Amino acid sequence: MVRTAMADRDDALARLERELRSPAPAGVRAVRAGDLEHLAAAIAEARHRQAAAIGAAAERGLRFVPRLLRGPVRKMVGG
Amino acid sequence: MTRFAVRAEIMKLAQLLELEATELGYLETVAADDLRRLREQITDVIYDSGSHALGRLASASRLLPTSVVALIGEHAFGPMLAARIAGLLDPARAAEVAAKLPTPFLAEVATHLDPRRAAEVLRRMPPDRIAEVARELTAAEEHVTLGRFVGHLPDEAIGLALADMDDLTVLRVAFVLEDTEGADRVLALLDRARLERLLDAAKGTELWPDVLELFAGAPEPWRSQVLGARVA
Repeated sequence: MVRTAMADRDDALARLERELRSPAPAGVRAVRAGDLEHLAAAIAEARHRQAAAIGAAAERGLRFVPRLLRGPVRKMVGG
Repeated sequence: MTRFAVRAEIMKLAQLLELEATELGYLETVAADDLRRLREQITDVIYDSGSHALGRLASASRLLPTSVVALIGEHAFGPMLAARIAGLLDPARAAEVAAKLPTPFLAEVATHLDPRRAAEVLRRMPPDRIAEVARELTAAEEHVTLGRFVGHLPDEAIGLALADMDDLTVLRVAFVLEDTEGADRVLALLDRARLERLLDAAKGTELWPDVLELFAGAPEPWRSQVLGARVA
C-alpha cells in the first residue's frame, strides 16, 4: 500500500517535471500525488489554451491587415 | 517564510494559470521562495511554448503601421496574447503601440504580462501613462498585478501611482511585492505623514497582523519611530 502511494507520487512528480522541463523546487516535491497531478494538468491546460488562442488570433488579425499587405504578412506568419 | 509572502505567491500562480487561488490551497505549506521559483518555471514554459508562433507574428507586425498593430492587438489578439507578444516586439515600437491602446486594455494586458520580459517597453512608457494604468488596476483590485510590476518601473511612475492609491490599497500591494528591495523602494517613496496614515488605516482591520509582519523587517530608526508607538 505504502509502495503504491510512493509510486503514485513518483509518477505525478515525473509528470509535473515533464511539464516544467526541469526539476520541481524542493518544497513542491513534498506535495501529495493528487495535487502534483492537478498542478501538472493546470500547466498543460494553460499551454493548450495559449496555442489555441494564437491560431485563432492569427486568422482574426489578418482581417485588420490592409489587403495589399495580406499576402506578405500571411507568408511571414506561415499560414 | 512569511504568511503573506506564501499567499501572494499562490495568488500570482493562480493568476498565471487562470485558476482561483483556493484551487491551489495545497501549496500553502510550501516556502515562498520555492513557490516563486515554481512560478518562474511555469512562466518560462508557457512563454516558450508559444514563442515560435508568436515570434513569426511579431516579425510580420514589422510590415504594418503601429496603428494597425494596436488595432490587431486589441481586437484580434486580446490582452493575454498581447502580453505574450509584447516582449518580442522592438521595444520602441511596442511602446508606440501601447501609446495607441486604451488604458483599460493596457490594464488587462498588465494582468497577463511578465514584466521581466517587457522591461524595455515599460522603461519607454511615460510615467503618467503607467500611473493611469495603475489607477485602472487599483479600481479593479488587481493588487497582485500591481505588486509584480513595482520592481520593473521607474520611481517617478511608482510615486505617481502611490499618490493615487488609497492607504489600504498601498498596503495590499506591499504584501504582494516581489522582493524586499521592492518594499524598500516603496517605503522610500512614501513620506512620514503618509506612512503614519497607512498604519492608522490598517490598525484594527484584518490587515493589521500582516502589517506588523511586513514592517517588522523595516530599517531603523524608522521601525521604532513609526511602528513602535503603535505596537506598544
